Amino acid sequence: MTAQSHVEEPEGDLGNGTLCYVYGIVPSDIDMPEGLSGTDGNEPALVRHGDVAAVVSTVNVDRPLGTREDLLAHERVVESLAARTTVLPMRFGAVMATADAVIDELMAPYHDWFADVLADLAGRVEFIIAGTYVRDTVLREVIMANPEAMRLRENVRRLSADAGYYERIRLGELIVQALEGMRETDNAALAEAMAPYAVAVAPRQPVGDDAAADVAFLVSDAGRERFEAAVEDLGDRWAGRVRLRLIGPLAPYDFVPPAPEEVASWDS
Amino acid sequence: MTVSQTPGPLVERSAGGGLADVVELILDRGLVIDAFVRISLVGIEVITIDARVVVASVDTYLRFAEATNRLDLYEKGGRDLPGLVESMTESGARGGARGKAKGILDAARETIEEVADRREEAREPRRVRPSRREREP
Repeated sequence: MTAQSHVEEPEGDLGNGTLCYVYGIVPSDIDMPEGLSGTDGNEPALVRHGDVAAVVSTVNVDRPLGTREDLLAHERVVESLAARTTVLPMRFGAVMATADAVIDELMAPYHDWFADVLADLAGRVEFIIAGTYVRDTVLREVIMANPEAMRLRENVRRLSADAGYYERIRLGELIVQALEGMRETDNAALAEAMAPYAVAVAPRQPVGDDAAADVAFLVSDAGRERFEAAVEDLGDRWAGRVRLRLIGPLAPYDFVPPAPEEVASWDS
Repeated sequence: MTVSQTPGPLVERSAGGGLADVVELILDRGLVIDAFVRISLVGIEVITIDARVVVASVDTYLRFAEATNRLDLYEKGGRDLPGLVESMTESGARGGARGKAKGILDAARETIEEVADRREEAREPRRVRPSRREREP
């Protein structure tokens, strides 16, 4: 197997004070985009093995990873590749000792699994649709539907900030709870409305006070136009209550399968 | 972040590349290298940002109460009332039932425990462990 391996030596010295940061796995027949800047500003390279390749760059070991710049570097490299091929993205923070170790311990034992998963995801990209509530609209809904909230609101309006403190908290608590219920409903509604236009759907956890929905969709290249048109339609129907944002195309972060349990060549 | 309005005015577009949009993807999704590699994995210190920890707190409650206080319930320009009432009864039934839930102290305690659990979960399978958690700046 090693005969098929080919390392385009990344910049820097992997054996001396620097390590090998792994961004993701791609088919080996692609060319790296020129002039990409990875971790520590180093240019990423491909570590090829058979039909698959790891995208790596050198990273310094004298500091913790995780600065804003590190995260941006990871994102930049993965997205640049995702724009031209299928990428299995690694989670942030994948660091190995050397490029040789990447071949021996990552690429060689898992070659077939990577190749299969890449083939499954070929021609497909991820889109995320995130919804944000138009706050006044949903607050009106909550108050009008909830007599206790309505009563508390009237009290709070009459009382001073100090006198109404606990009623204020109770009112806010009722609203937050009501919004949680709405969020669940709206997240499911978003997933259902767009499912016919996607290959797969992965509901995520909407986060934030005004978050209404957050769902990832795996979309085929062929179906992309219809998907985007459907998002527009939904944005139209939900206008005034939920604002939609379409994020992507992204690498299929939400659709990589779990790692295989066992690998035949592991004990060899 | 690249945001363009190209397809239409109602849906905002973002072509990835914005950290706020993807930070949770990068940190919580994707292949975990620990699951594949056991020998040459380097236990480098990783600082992570937990973008997901958003908790209902007293501050949040007060903020919503304030927004509600300012709200003009019958304001024109929103959706008209019949349509509003219709959609309300639907979502309100659910919200109302949940509204009876627990007092604020219980909620706060649960929140803290949830966060603690999340951290344990996050730490457990990773050799590369977070040393510090910050909110997304």
